[in-house]
Amino acid sequence: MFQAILRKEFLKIKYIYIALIILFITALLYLYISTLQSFTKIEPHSMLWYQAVHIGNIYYDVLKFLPSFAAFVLALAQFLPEIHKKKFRIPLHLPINQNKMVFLYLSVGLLLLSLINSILLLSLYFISCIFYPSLIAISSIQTALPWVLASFVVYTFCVAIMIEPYFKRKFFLCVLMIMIVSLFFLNDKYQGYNNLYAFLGLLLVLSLFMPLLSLYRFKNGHYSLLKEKSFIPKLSFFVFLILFLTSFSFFLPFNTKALSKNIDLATYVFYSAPKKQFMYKQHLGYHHFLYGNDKGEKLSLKEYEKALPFIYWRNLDIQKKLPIVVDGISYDKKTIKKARQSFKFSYNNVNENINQVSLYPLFNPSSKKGVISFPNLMFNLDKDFSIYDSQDNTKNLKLSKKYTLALKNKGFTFPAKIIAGKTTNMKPLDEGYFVLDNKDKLFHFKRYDDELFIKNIAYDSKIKIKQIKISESRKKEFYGLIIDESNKAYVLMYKNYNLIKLPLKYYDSNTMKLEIYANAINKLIRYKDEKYVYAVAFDKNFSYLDEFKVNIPQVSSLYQTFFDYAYTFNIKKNPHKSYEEYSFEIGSKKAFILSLSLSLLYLLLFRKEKKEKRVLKSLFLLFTGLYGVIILAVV
Amino acid sequence: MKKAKYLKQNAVILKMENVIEVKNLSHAYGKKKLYDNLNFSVKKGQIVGLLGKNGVGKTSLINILMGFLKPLGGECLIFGENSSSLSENTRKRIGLLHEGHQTFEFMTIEQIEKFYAPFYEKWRKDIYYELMDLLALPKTHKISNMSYGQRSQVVLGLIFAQNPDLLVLDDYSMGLDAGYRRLFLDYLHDFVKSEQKTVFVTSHVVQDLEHLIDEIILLNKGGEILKTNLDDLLSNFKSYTLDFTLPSDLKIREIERLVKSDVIRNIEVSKNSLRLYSYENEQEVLKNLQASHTVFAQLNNANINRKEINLEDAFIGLMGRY
Repeated sequence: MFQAILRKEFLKIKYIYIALIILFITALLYLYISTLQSFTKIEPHSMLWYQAVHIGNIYYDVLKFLPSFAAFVLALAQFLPEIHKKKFRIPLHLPINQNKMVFLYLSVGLLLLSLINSILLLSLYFISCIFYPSLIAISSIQTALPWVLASFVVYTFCVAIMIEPYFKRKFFLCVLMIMIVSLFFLNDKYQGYNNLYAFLGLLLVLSLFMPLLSLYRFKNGHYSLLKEKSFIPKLSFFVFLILFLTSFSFFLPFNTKALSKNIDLATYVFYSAPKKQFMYKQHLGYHHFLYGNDKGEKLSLKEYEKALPFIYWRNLDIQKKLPIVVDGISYDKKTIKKARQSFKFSYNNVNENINQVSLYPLFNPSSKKGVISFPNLMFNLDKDFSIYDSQDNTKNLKLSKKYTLALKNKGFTFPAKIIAGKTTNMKPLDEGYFVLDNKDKLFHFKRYDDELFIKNIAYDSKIKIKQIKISESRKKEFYGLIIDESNKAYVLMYKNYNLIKLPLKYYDSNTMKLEIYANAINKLIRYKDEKYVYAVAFDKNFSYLDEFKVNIPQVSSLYQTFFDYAYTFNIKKNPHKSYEEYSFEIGSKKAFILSLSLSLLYLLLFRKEKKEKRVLKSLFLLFTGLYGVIILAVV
Repeated sequence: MKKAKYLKQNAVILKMENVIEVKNLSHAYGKKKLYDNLNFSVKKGQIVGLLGKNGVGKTSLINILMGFLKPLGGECLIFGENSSSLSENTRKRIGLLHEGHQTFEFMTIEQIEKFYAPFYEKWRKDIYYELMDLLALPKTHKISNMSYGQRSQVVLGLIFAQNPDLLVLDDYSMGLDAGYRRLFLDYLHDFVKSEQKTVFVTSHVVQDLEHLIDEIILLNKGGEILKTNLDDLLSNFKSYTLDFTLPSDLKIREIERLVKSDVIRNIEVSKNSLRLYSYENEQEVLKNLQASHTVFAQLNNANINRKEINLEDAFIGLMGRY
């Protein structure tokens, strides 16, 4: 019987399927030709590798919606002839279990979709392998996998929408499909869903129940499921509710938060070297600013700018007030400019992104050239010091062997845990990379005039390094910042590779961004949470001077109030990660008050409804609040 | 164990006389009531025609019987099983013709036979191809390229090849010309005659059913039914004509309303004559007509003539023209 259905379905959709194969081949050819053109135009080729790995340029995004489009067309080709004049009754009358029959139909569609998607993924891999190292090719498959998984969800939902007999429910299934499928496209980074394949797979499995629910409704109309004795329709309806609640509890709070963020107000804190005070500037909205200092005094704009000569030095220069004298030392324009340095460190620092392809440009500055040219070679430190030559997309075995040996001779153990460096050539000088090996030894290596310099850095073994951020500066005072497992921050100094522990009481590297500002006299470190901006002032050598915190003005946001009352629970996307990470969050007490009120209101208002139904619905409202109201209104 | 279960099942089937049983069936679309407490049954071997005007719920009834619509009240049993959850074995015993001779049009004559065959153990390929031979088309001919009549032939062939115990035919005559209707009926007649098959049929061409059906179910708006034996109906139900010109100041609708009663079941008013339908004799009909309005007071026995009645006349007599 399966063969008969397989044959029948294939007869029905063969021309459409062939057209889809042609479309896929055309898209893949386009991908091949456009990639070839890029590699012909751009030199060195490693620049394209860099763009893929470090800029996040997805060179195959022409394929992004192709599987979903194919799924939509396939579902249409397969089921449109069935629902036309309700012909779906013909197969349903055949002597075979009706749920099994629908699954057989779905199996055919999913099988054909799998086949075409496999062709797509394999071709993407092979095309990538022509131009890119296999690391990037494998990553491209992992990045494209959610697009393919989404296509199966599109297929099952389109089938459910077509079988569903009532327009209103068709519409809501459409909305549900858009929400669920969006979850597969939210992240446009490389391997952005690496930790979520199980979740996406679960959504796919749950979506398989939607055609079964539509089948039940096709057969029985609006018949209440409460009276239904069969298990599968009840289970399908339960899954339908789960999917609705999942997507609502993600998208509604997500969008409310996004709206409320638009009116976030900024506060800036600086340290005044002449006054030895912290100065702050608060934005109160509508371009209204408040200026003050750490003594609680309110300042005028003029007083504020005057206290910060190393920030507003350009004004002083125009007003011919330079040089300035602080503590008896004169600072002219050149000194001020030269001393300025800023350094920013973010929670989604490159090292923390566990998903990123581990491939880095191997800079090789020449003592005879004024600029750092982008290298042909890129490296990886997994099994060994693998060096890839982008000009012919091969591994440079000789150099790989040489450098692997050089690292091993210095006591390096593969694979590397962290590789940190500034991967662009748009920098004043190259300090190469700081690498944490597999035994937590810290190394510094750089290539210069074809020679590899390697240094094993001794540091306190109690420090468990979690993140490293490097940023080269001509001042050559510090290489960058190191964060350990217990959230302590250290500055990695040029002098003897010293690690200076920074006294940052409230700093959390997982959620906060950190900024270092340097001028001719001081260093200032600034970080903030939702309520305060924290600032710590140091002297030139990172010796602690003072610290200060100032609140960020909180405007009573209508959206935030709505958020607090409306959502009994929500699925929260971690905004501090570049990859997708979700967590379940129970709402505030205010939200519970609302859901309790809604629940009681339902009991009071719908007294004509049967008791069993009424109690069930009010309990549903108690647990789901606003989501429940929407679901009851549409279901 | 399996054999014992099989024998037990068959024993139940043999004992059971009713192939279709409709019990207290109620259904409505919104406020529009289709049936209210509808009851009837179809016995094994009977050929029953369900007749009713457009929109009275003939197709809905078939949908309920075949499990494609859940009724609001009551239940329907097919071979003793609730129609909303017919088992595979029961569906195997039912040859169902969907309204409009629906089938998989993207298939050819040969492909569709190969598709259906594995689902039915008693599949009769020979019956199917016997009907297909009449079409004089190659086996590779696509159904979508066929005329309505030719397509009906394919559908009929598929249903007969299933060799079902019950045939449910929803408006088989839709879209067919007289020739194909006759062909369809002839084959159906021969098929059901050879074995004790049960047929439940609806059609909007009432006349065709006269030579096919044993029992008739007339379905009226609101779910009122009349179930009767066809021979009884044709011999007891009568049609009378009267030469009479209705005064121009009288409205036809008003006259119809006044004349219709338990005795005169229906009246058709035309320019110079009246046609009356009744189970009663001339005298009784005339008496009722005279009593209904003063304009009929002068009519006498000489004016009234009894006419031969056929199924179509009976249908209009009982259900009305509009």
